[in-house]
Amino acid sequence: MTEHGRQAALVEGARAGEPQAIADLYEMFGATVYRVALRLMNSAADAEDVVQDVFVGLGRSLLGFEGRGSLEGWIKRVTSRTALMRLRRQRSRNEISLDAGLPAWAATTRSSPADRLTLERALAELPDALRAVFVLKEIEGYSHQEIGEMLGIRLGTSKIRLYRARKELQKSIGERNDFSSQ
Amino acid sequence: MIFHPSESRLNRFADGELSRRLRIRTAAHLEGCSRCRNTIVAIRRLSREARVLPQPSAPAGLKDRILERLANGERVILPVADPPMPVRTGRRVAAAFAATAAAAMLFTIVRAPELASEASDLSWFPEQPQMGAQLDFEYRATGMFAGEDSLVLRGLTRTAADGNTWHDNLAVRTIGTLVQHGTGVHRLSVKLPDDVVYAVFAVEDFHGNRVDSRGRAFWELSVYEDGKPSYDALLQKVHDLTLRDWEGAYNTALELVKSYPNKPGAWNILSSLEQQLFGVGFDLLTLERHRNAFAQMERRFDNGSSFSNEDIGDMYAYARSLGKLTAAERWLGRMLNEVPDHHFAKRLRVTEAMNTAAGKWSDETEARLEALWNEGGFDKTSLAQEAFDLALTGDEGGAFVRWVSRLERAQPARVDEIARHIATVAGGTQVGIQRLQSLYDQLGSPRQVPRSLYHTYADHQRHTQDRRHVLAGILGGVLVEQGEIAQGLTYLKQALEGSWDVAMFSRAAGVLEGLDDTNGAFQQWARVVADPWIERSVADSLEAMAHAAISADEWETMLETARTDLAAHYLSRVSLPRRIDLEVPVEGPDGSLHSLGELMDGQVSVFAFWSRNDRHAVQRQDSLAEISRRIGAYDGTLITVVQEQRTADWEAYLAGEDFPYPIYHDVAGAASRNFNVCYNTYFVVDGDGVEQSAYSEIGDVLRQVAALNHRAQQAATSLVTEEADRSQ
Repeated sequence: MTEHGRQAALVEGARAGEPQAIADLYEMFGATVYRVALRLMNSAADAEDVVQDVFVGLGRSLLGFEGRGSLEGWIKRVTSRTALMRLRRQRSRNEISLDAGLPAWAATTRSSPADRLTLERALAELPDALRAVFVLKEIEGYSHQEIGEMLGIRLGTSKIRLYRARKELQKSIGERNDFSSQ
Repeated sequence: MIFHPSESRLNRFADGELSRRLRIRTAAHLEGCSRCRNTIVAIRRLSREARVLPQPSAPAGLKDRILERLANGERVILPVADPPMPVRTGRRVAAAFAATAAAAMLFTIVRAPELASEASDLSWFPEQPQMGAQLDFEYRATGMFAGEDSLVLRGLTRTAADGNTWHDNLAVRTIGTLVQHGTGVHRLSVKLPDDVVYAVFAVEDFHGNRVDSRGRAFWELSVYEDGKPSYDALLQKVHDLTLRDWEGAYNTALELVKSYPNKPGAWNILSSLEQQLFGVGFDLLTLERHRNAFAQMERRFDNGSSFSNEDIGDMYAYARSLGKLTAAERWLGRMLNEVPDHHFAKRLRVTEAMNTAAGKWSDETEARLEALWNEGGFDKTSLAQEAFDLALTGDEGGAFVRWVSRLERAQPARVDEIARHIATVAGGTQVGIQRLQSLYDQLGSPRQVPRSLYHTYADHQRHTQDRRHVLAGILGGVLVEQGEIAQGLTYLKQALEGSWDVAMFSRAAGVLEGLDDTNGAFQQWARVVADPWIERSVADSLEAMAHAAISADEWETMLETARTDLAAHYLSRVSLPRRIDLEVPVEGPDGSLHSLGELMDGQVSVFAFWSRNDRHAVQRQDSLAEISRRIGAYDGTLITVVQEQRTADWEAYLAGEDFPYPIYHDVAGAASRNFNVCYNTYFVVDGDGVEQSAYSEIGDVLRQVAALNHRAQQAATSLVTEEADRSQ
């Protein structure tokens, strides 16, 4: 069976409420979903909640998947929206994550070079709105159009937030423009 | 002053989201701006690092927790649709990215017509001389040289061995005396040296008080072979025109490739120029054509066509310039084996020597570099510069002086740049300070300093004096930094009196403040405020500082003195001011014709001649826009003239840009001839049509307008005072 065929079968199974189908879809896409959630939520605990919600609600929500585009892309979008919705709710309730302030990724990653840890820390310290755009654009590879649609903002706003995120990150990391010109 | 693209534009450039036109314009700016280039580097580096961040692992047991919730019958509704966009009034920001098929873009290079010999002309016989020919020159004089029995023919000659030496760094010679033969005709017969392939000429009177350089275009001579200019002649012409006439250099490179399509050197120089002029647009516009040309030449070589030694080295350079690294390696191997004396091979040996030195001077390094210098046969400028940078690491004052002297001799036109470099590399050393003092003293004798082909002696004196003041500023700054305050201030004061340099004023103000010379410091701050390029917010801050420290009257007096200083520095910069023909027409954006006088309307006017095909002119468009915004405050007007026709392509280009100033078209080259324009450049003309400055740097034109405005105001004030005195 081709990969596409396998996925189609799992989608059907998940729609039918089969737990094994959900388990298999988790094996396929769980790492990706967790990565996206963690980078957006900046908290391991919140990221886990998002992942759980995504897979618990996946069977029902797959009824809206029409097979256009990749399944992975569709699930990533759903994950992003779920995480962003949770962030908005948190902001409105002034919730603070229990492990906020810690570089969440550092706790779960394997050893990384000092400069990457610095980038991770800096990213964790970005305001949610800027981090969301930076993560979705620079790491997850969405277009500004898609980001705008996901976040409910205009394309221009998405761009401006990205530029501000870059500027903030460079300031945090302490980049200095001391390259010699060649 | 150069204005930088906004942060937003730099980000869009880094993301590849700019329209082609803005991309080309931005790339042109980046070529000359390390600050913005570093911004792009930082943005791209951040993106790269973000993409390779480590992948976090999901916590153990997560799957089980999910399945447990499912088993408990939990339901979660996920947001499968995007949230609605907020409703807002106002303009939508449109995406700026446009993809353009490279092959569809054609540039129409319209060279300004040859300057008409309306008054003077230098010709020679034979018209198409061969190498070593006997030349009979004939000069038909203008009114400027009326009554002169004899005139001097000066020139600059180039041989194939001159390589890519800049025009300004070659020696100008007196060719001979043009003697009057009949009314208005002067003649001279002279033999062309055997190795000369290209030459440029100007005519002047005996004292150098009046010079006819044909508006800096000179009269150009190329030697001929087989009925066409020789390959070496055209190549040397390209090198001579580079930096002083980009469009001329480019057109000559096109001619070179057309006349000698099988010469890789021709294609290589065209590629270099196109990359200079078009920046990243090169990839879109002509890279494919070059790759095809390169492939054809490789096929010819593989089929047994003979390549000269020069061609082998040129194939290596061409491959590198096109980014064909594998091919470049192949040709490098051939060059090193078959032509180890090729100038590219020698330059590689310089690089190798520097790499081996690894930043430390040693006897072995010195021996290698001396051997390379003595061998010659390549452009030794970068060797001299790198050697003198390195010499100091060995605390070797003698070696440093030897190499910097060589650089000064190789590049007499760049004395000030060399001085800046000495200040950076050796500013803290005795030998560096001595070298700067020696350069300063050298410039004290204008007759000992080579005079360019187009300067009158008065222009040359002023030019040398300007450079001396700049050097005084550099030397003063270095001495102050080394704690030699009194000596440093002496030089700084000379620089401050003789030049207009806002950065230097600020530095001097800081020094004077540190010496508790409050008045002295605010005199310099007043000059900063008086500069027409000053940002309003900076001027307001300085004025607030002044009002807190000194009286309002004192500050006003300082400002008035500063404006007078600016005027004194920037007025009368032309030793032979011309009256411009105000009836000459140009074509407006709507096709209507306007005379220059109508456009000027009696105001001081900046004329900016430019071309979109020259990225150096494109790079200055932001400065032009800034001039257009500020010039009204000085009762001036900006008139820009392009040297191309109104075509559909031009209209499409205009539609994609947002010029805040009107653009006029030269009608049959009349305006260019009126100003003797031979390249993109700037002129200031007063309200009476008299040229007040020519071939100016763009940063200076606004200052010149401010200077003229100040003079007019002072004249008006004097008139009012006189009338008041009379009526009493």
